[in-house]
Amino acid sequence: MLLSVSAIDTYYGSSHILQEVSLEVSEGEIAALLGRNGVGKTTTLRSILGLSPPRRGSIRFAGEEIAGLPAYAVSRKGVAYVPDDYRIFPDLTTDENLEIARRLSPRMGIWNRERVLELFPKLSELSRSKGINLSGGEKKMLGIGRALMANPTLILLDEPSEGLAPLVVANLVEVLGQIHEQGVTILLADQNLKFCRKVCGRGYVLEKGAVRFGGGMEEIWGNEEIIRKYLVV
Amino acid sequence: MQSIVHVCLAGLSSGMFIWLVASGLTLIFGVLGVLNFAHGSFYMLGAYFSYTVLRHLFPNFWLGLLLGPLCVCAVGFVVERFFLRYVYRLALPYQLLLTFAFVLIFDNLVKIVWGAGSLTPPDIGFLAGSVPILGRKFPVYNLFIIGVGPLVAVALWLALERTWAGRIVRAASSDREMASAIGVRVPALYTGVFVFGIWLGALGGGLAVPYVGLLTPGMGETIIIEAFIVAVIGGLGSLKGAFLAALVLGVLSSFGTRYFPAFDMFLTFILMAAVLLVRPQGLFGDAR
Repeated sequence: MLLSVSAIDTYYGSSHILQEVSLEVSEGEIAALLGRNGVGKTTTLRSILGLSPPRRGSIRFAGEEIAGLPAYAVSRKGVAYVPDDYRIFPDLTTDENLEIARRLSPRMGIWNRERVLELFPKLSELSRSKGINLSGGEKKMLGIGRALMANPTLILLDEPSEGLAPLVVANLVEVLGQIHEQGVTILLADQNLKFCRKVCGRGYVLEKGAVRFGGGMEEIWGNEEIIRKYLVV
Repeated sequence: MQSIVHVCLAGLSSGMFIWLVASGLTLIFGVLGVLNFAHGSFYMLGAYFSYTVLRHLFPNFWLGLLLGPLCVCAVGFVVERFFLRYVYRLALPYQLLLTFAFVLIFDNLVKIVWGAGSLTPPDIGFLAGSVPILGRKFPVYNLFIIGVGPLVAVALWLALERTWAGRIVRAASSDREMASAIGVRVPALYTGVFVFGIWLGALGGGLAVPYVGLLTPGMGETIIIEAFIVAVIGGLGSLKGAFLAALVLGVLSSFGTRYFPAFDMFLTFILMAAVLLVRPQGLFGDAR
């Protein structure tokens, strides 16, 4: 297993957000966290990275315990994060946003500026634009590109399909497929079941901070009870 | 005409000291989000340490300016690493209380170590004398100071805009959490930025040794108030704003002292009030 999360409990102040969440992601797969707004998908990703450390439980990544490590240490072990609001550095240009991630990563690999621009040709026109001037869609591409520049083993991808037009979603499916082909493992959180079915092999269904179901995407897709209870708005 | 030029030059040189203190203050606020009320004390320590180097170790201006502020950096490191670090997440009043405590501690330490009276710096003969400007003498050292200020400003700008260390600092100052998510050791970065900001203030203190004529244990308080005003007028966190405001304030208060001695600080506060009424975020501050 590349990533094993076992029974983590995460709190924001005194509110208990994640309750004994357990999940596993094996090397080379794309797995999904499914569930409605506010069920703890983002918190799960943040807990893994160390931004919202769990109070109890264990997180093992590539055989090492990473629960309790600060985010920068987890990042250097090969975990990259793309938040749902992208968090592009507003004061840096597109190129600088990419390059800074490469410079801060101790890891070598196939990803560099040229490869990222091949994946997102649009970004090459924007190389000197500051982050603050990019559109939402451009920021999303740059967020994924910045994550790749660190040559991570695992990417935590929050709400990739949110707010995108159908045509753009189709393009995103293709891009994620290309990233996957290069051997990068992805754990993504998304509400869009159709999108997840196209991209992911397995999924975990969350509700009220707990995992209600885990299994193959086709299994989830075919289970009307789960869809009605936990996924359909 | 002649006296106006001289008043301007005097104002510019005193403005440069305010700038050096305000630059460190602004940098620390911009990156760490802490208003370091003790910044003037580090200016004072810079002056006292440089004084000690000059009087007791090496009577060489440059060595004093190098070693004095370096010692103050060590003090700054201890302050950040063992005290300030624990109040980042607390509300502003706690930060002000802690840094104000350091103002009192440093004032008293200086009184214990160097005595409560004022000290006269040794005459090391660096850039002594004066040159005639429009037929009246102006101290060479003050011209030197007028040159150093912009030099520091340009160097700071280049470091922040054109080096990767600077870009990392800018990234962390706009989004601390995302910076750590891409591998920035934010606590270590904060220590580094704080110590560098302290160095800027202490450099101002070291440069002030041949300028002020007398070192007194309270010399940090006067300058921190002016530096605060400058940082606020310029827009908190804006180095460009702090630089311009320091020039304006230096010249304005120089005119005040010369022509309306009774209203010296009054003019300064009028300027601050006027700027804040028109632009509450300061000249170059963003409105967030």
